[in-house]
Amino acid sequence: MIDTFLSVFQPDVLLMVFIGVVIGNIFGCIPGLNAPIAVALALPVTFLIDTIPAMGLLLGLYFGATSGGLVSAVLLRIPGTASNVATCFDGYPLAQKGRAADALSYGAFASFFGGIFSSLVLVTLAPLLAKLAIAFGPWEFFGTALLSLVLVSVMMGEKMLKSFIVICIGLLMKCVGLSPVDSVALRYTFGIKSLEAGFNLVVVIIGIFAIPEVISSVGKMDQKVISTKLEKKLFYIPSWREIKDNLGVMLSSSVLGTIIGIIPGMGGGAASLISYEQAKKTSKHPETFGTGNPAGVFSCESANNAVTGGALVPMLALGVPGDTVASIIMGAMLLQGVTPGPLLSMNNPELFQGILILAFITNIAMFLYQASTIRVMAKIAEIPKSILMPIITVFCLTGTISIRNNPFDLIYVMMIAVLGYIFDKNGYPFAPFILANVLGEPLESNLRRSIMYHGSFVKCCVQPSIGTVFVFLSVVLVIFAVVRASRASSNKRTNDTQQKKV
Amino acid sequence: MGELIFNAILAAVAVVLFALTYSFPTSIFDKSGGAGMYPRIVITILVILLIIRTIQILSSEEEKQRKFVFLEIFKGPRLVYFLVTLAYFLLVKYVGFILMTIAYLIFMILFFYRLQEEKNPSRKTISIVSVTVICGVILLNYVFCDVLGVLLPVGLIGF
Repeated sequence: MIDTFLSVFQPDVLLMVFIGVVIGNIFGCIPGLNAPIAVALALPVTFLIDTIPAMGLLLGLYFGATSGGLVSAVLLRIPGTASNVATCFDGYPLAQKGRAADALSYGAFASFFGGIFSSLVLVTLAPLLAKLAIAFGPWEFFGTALLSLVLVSVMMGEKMLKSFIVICIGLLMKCVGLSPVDSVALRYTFGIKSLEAGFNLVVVIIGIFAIPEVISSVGKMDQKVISTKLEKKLFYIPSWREIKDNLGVMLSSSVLGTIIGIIPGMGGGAASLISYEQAKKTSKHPETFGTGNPAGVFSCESANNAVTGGALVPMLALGVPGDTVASIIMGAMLLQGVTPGPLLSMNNPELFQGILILAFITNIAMFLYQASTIRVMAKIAEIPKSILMPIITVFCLTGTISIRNNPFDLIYVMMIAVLGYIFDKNGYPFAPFILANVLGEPLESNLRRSIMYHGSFVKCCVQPSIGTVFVFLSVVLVIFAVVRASRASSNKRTNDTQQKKV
Repeated sequence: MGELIFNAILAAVAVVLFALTYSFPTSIFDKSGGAGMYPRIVITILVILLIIRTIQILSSEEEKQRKFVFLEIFKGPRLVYFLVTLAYFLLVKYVGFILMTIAYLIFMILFFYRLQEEKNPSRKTISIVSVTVICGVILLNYVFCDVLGVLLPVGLIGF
């Protein structure tokens, strides 16, 4: 453990955490940019540095971007990321009342509280889960991967069908290249040498997240930003009384956020909205919510940051990421030759414990940075898109080319960008697509290994194992979701007919 | 209608990919169903889902009327961005990172400025943008090539 501390408390690691937090915060506070884009653009840099500093950079970006969105949500009423939608409800009215600095300090503290809470859960739960999962074989890993893909789609509600479609597209994309297990067949390469290694995950992530966002922003270039003035302070922190009054709200929101983070597919957006509603329901004055109640800011900001630690629990313990950014981080680890999952704690305990410690350090760094630079961040949120968007495109190019210096990657990154734009504009969710790209290879290889080991798929399904439970649960979940969706649509149809009659 | 065409194209591609799975070589020691088994399962599920989605669209008036966004990429400023970026990505290997990036950034920033401000940039703006971009790109090239060791394209003219 002392070795781990020594390896984490190195100047280069701390510098990477700080750089990650700063850039993450900038990405978070600029509307249109978010954590997945920040992490995706930083991925190529991680290949050039050691694993622990790389993890420091990625966690800094992840936590920083999740929290940074509160600045534009409070000052401009534009949520920087989906996680900060609920922050607008009470943060912006507070700013309108001349209490913008208060609202931002509530958000910064709540983010810190939620982040530290979920890091504690991460430290407690991840090693425990990893120990339980250490006996997992191919069938159990297949079951876990299948269940997480199903869970992601089922959680999408109305978008469930579209989610399953993008999962299949993602899984199919992962079939391109040399077949796993046998390593004999070259699939769907059409004689193109560059396709033999398959589509590069980083290129896919850059193509699906960053470029479509720029294309989308081009149509909104004429939108003007109206700035809000902030009072000068050295350190923006809420008073002890305000913290004490909202401790219960922060605690319950952090619990909710962490649980939502652990469940694949829900993410910070859902966490902040659910915890906001929960805080409103349990409040003595629910009518004040939406008019500038500090509890509104405390609840959603602690919940969305609690998601970060929660999402890392299944990633580190089971090799199943809890949200989109965790998927990208998992992809980065895989590309570094580190496989997240139960064996990580056994094969690479220093890295496993290092990530747990980094979660705390990053949260502390994020709070210190945010509480002292809110005025600067407010200015950054006003940077015109005309400057930002071309720069992001250049980073997409440098990011894509630095992976393997292959011009072919630059061609298909644009094709994936078009696909990403179609997905984005027509309600096809990104998260399941990325998850399918991350889990595609282990899903196939573990399925085929299970069949080889047990003889057939049917024989796999009768094994008394947790893998069978997960596969069974996946099927039940799909059936349950289909029944629920068809009931909802028939109810809607009946209502529409009745309304037409009236 | 747009989504129906999108689904039809996806389904057609899926059918072709399904047929191709039978051409994948299989090792005699491989008892897992071969390299084609897994893509066949995925494609079958995908086609079933696309059929369900098509039925869903056809049976709902709301879905039928919903606009499918695709061609917007190829219209107006988005088309300019798309084509210029595509040209940038394709030509960077031949022209080189520094020259191509400077040209791309100056053009795009001034183009977006015109869209955002609804007026042409002044000579002063053009000069400031140009000088900042040139210095920024040289710095970026230094960071990537000399500090991070990334091989950025030097192009035919050597930089």
